[in-house]
Amino acid sequence: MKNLRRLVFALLALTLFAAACGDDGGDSASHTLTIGAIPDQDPDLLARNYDLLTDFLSDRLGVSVEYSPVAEYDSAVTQFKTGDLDLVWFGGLTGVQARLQVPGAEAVAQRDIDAKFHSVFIARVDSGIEPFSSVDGLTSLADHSFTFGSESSTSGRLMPQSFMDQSGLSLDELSGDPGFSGSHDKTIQLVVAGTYDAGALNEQVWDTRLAAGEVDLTQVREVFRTPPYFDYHWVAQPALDARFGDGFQARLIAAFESLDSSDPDQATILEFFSAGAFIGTDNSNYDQIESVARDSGLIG
Amino acid sequence: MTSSPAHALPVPLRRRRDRWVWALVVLVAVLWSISRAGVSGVLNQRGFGQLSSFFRAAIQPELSGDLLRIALDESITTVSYALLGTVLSIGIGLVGGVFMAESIWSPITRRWSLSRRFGWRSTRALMAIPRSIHEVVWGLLLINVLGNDPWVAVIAIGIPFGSVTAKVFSEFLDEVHNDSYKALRIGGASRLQALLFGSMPEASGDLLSYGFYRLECAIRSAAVLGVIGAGGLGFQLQLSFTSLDYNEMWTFLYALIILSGLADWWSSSVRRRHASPNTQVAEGAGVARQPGRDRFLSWSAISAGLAVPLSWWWLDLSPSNLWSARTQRLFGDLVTDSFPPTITNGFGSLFTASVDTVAMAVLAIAVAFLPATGLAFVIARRSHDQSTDGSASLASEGARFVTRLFLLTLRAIPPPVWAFLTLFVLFPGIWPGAVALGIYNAGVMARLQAEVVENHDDSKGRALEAAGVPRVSRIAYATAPQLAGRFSAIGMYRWEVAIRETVVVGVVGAAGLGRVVDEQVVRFDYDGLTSTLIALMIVTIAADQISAGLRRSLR
Amino acid sequence: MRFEEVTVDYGDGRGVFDLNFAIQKGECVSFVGPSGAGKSTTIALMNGLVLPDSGTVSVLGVDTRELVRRSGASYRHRIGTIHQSLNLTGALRVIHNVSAGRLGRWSTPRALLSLLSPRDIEEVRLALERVGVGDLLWERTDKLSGGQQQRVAIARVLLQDPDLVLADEPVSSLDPARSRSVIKLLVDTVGHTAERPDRALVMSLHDPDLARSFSRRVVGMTEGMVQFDLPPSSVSDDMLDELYSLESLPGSPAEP
Repeated sequence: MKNLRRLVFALLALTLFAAACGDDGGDSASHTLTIGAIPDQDPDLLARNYDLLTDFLSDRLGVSVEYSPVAEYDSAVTQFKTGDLDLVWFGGLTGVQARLQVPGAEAVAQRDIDAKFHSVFIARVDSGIEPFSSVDGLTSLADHSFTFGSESSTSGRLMPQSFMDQSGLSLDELSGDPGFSGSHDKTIQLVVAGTYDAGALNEQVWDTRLAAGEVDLTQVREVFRTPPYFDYHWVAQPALDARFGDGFQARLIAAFESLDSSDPDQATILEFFSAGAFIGTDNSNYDQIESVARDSGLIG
Repeated sequence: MTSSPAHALPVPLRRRRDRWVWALVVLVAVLWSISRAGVSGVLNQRGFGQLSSFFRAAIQPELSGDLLRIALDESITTVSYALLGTVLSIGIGLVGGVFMAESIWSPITRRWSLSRRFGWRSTRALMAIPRSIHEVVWGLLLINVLGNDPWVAVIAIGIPFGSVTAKVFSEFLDEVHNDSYKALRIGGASRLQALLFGSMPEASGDLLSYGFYRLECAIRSAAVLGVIGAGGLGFQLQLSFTSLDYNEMWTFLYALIILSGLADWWSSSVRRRHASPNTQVAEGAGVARQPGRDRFLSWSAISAGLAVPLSWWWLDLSPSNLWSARTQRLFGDLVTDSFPPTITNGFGSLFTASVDTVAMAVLAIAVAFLPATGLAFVIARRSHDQSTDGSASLASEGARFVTRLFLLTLRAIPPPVWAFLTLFVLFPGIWPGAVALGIYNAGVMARLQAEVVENHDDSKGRALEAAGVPRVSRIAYATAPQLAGRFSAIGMYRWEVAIRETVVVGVVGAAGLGRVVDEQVVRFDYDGLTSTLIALMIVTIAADQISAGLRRSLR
Repeated sequence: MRFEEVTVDYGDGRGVFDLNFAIQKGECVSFVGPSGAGKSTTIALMNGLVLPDSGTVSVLGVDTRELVRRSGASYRHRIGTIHQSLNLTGALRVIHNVSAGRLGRWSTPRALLSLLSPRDIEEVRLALERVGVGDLLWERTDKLSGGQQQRVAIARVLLQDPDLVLADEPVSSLDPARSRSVIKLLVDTVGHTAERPDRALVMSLHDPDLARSFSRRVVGMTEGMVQFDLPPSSVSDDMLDELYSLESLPGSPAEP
């Protein structure tokens, strides 16, 4: 009994000691650039292979860089708001949400393809929805069940919803409430399964899965590709220059722009992001997204 | 207190009548839920192929070295969250349980004053609030205050579990015969002192054993919490789930199954030993000083104790983060963002969603109850089973093992994953959510019911067995009547839990408060979220009252 | 201690009715009578476990209604009670159960500390030795025999060192020979002793012979009323026979 009691005291002391040690790590954080990304396409690959990217940035910027994986769109925004993430790969909508919650934050870089991004509408072959080529054709989705991807996705929810609006199709005209599958891949699978007649998703995911032969084309087909819009981009916390020295943000942008597919490591990074190259961008490119999001109530 | 002399019926008969009324209430509730969920056009037969491809992937999980290393690391993280969360919940439970105990509120003499009764009731009601909110929602709120910090998961588990533990511990304290507490009070000890010397020593063993049960629940919770980015196995599962890499998912699911299995085994062994300790009192000099202690129990307590600082170190917890300037600022922001509550889509839609949530939970338990009961009898280990001849017991041993593994799988796969899987074969609405929660809860219920079967006194059943009555009849005539009450109590308890769990199956679409919460979180509409959470609290507390009433009538 | 027109009515014919008596410092009083005579209620009235429906009980100069309030804790500590069912905490070691007698004088943190690392071990051992079970210090209380537990309960009161000791049927579960030795122990240790000449001991006993042998005043009760209140030498066998048969006499409400 006495020994047991001593053990309890020893454990308490050990816990306090561990607590004290934990405190020491505190201030190194401000010298580390913490980056993250929304879990959009193959987040598992990125999360488990991020060291290529952090090594590259660390090498170019001369600061230590950490990758902090995120499992949900909204927690990426929240962690940007709380300051846990310094630089985040956001979608159009989440980027706008993040900038609204952190005044002074800036869109710094995007991919070559992000200025002309598209969503794809898919439908079951047996649903009676025929392929169409103009936004107006979206009215043919009326009286069919339909699913978006994640609630916060730009290409899987915001822009498809906005184009449906443009065509004059109200969500009430669908059969039942629209679903939110949770991700682009889940949208494909739920339409293949027949749970929903149709769905909308990121063109990149669709093209990648098609190329890999992972889509059952006897069940589902593409019926429409939307007009282009701005989507993914890197958003940086304000005052990065103050923390890491003058001109840091400019060097950051330069580092992204210098990613070159002829270098094998850099090519792998570009491949994770399905990008040919990164280019600079600025907040005004996302004004359209912001007003669409405001219209659909996704930002207040 | 229990009997009112004015009533003419003798007590046992009145209880029976209570039971029939409750049975009717339950039946009506189930029928109403079925009609609300609809019966036609629910099944989507085209989706079975998709469903089977998920289960086919089970035979070839991704076994690359890198992924296995990740699975191992994250398993340790998950266990650390669960352990520290449980320790926190026991701390909260100890303190909270004392304040919720009837004995500490009751005066020394027999009369309760109105203000005391009010004080006791309102303390109990207040302590019910934290447990009416699911861990995931706590996690969502905490991440706004603490950011990306391991404390998020620890506290998100600790708070609601602490509230449940406090309730259970206060019941332990009140169940311990009150006399030694009263004797100390009358001898001049303060309430707290009398509780420390009078009731706590008797109740603390029960609390410790209950703590091991919570640890087992906490492993599953930690996995679900991974979804909101708290790290651990659930987080990796979520990443693979987003891109629907089934083979990778199974790697993490197997890790979860192993962890849950170990936690289940540890927790049930501790509880079995606690109920009947295996104390081999050594003869000789030691007897006078060292009374018999179960080695296994001591070993369990010590290793759980040792694991606490290790988990702390592994997660790199820093207490100063809990009250840093940033935390205070963010907490202020969250409060400003969340108040005053507003109603996003009108009161009507919130009400409809609340009603759907109740229906979903009712159906979940209705779906789970019978299969769980049947399987509970398969896995229950009865002492007299061993006496049958070798070949039969080998077969039943095998069936038991396979069934246990099956049930373990049911409860190791987090409800959001079940929800997505059921969506392949059921059209969106209440049903897929109910079935998903039903499958998960069947896994939990069968285990709880099996423990009841193992612990109940089966002398009648054995008498019938001796008379040559076949097994099924034996269960129907001897076992079932004895167990029906306890089983129903478990069902009611899981119904309460299922109501809370509806928030994590929002993916099934168009039904329940889970969908509302998802949408509000995405819009960062915290004013609206506050109202939704209040609605959820009201529903949960009402369910709590109803289930308490039913359980009372079953006693 | 003084009872003035004290009535407690349980409504089913049981209770105590119109009790009037006083007990002085240093007395040793036994209440005797058949089961249901109201002995236990009378004892419970003395420590505030039961409050009178009407009338006043004052103990150590304080009304028992005050005694049970928070402010009465310091008075409650001066009354030691040995309950019929002992009310020890089974899961605790003997040392803690005895130390519990000190609770009224300890702050709560000190009480908590004592559970982890016992205080005043020597005093507890001394108290246990006085009641003849010094070797049981570290035993778990629920592992002890009934007689041993009885002694532990007495040791608790010894450590509490109160001005008034109440013992409600302290030997109800023991055989006659043991009963005698326990009552003797009780009177010798927690009755009025050389070092505590002012201490009063009040017992309720089923067995009138024990009462006559050990106390200096015997109070006979039936049906909640005092039938006699005399020194033991004046209590005759006839009076006791009448006391224990009264309930079967005609006119009693128990047997119409």
